[in-house]
Amino acid sequence: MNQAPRLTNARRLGSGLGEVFRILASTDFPSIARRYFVMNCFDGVMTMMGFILGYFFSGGSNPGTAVGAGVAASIAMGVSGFTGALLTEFAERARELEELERAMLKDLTPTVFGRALRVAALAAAVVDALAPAAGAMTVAAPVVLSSMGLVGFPTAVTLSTATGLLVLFALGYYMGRIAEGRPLLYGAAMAGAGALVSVAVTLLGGA
Amino acid sequence: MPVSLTRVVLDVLKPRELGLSELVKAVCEEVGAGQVSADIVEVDVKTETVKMTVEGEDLDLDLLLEKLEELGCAVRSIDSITATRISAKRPAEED
Repeated sequence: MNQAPRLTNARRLGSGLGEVFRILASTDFPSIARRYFVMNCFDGVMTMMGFILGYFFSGGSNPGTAVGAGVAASIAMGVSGFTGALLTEFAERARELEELERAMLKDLTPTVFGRALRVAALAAAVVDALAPAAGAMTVAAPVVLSSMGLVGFPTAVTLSTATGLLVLFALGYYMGRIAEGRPLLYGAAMAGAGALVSVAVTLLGGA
Repeated sequence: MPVSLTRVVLDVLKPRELGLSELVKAVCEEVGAGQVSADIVEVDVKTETVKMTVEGEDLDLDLLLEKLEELGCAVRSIDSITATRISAKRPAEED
């Protein structure tokens, strides 16, 4: 006679995750993740552009060395981003959860809100880890081709710089679209910052 | 004769971040209720008090309370509850 469907553990877990993501979407998490992505991708691109140009203009000519050091820098940025964001986000969200617990007069750790806290901290950490590495490796791609002997090192440096400026412009454009403002202006500002770094590093390296 | 719960009215405190539609949909889906309605009774900075009415053919009160706990809600009281004798109503369903 019992018509009510009884839930399997798997189904309950799945629906619980759905609620966790709905709660995350209703908070400031999407904008925080977006900010982490843009800021850290920007950092990754800038660092790699500066590194490649600095290496080239200070007399470096081995693309393998540039790639190796670039990958090492990307890993360092990734680990730094992951740990920093994980701890910061966890602490910040734990404080918010504690405030909510005071208002609710109950422990929310075993609820969807507790799970949302852990998912948010982990997701922010993953974004913070992957964004700079992705940005850096995109810029380093032409140098990787050079280390494989497909293009000359000076050409690879030029292509890396162009790729970096393009990625920076795209990031700025994306931010401009989000701000519903002037995407071209945002893109130009980001690419301008990249150009400034390129010129400064070129001058310093050449000195 | 078997008797089942067909209507429960609860006084629930919920976090404001949990939307009203998400709450009723989740309860309706996971508790197997035929109909769930929720009326906001009181609004606070971080919380809302909701009068929730759950209707169905055979409600599992423990499952309902457990689901609400899992959603981060605090059930303050069970304000009304209705039980119905089922077998007398629908003998055709029994083989």
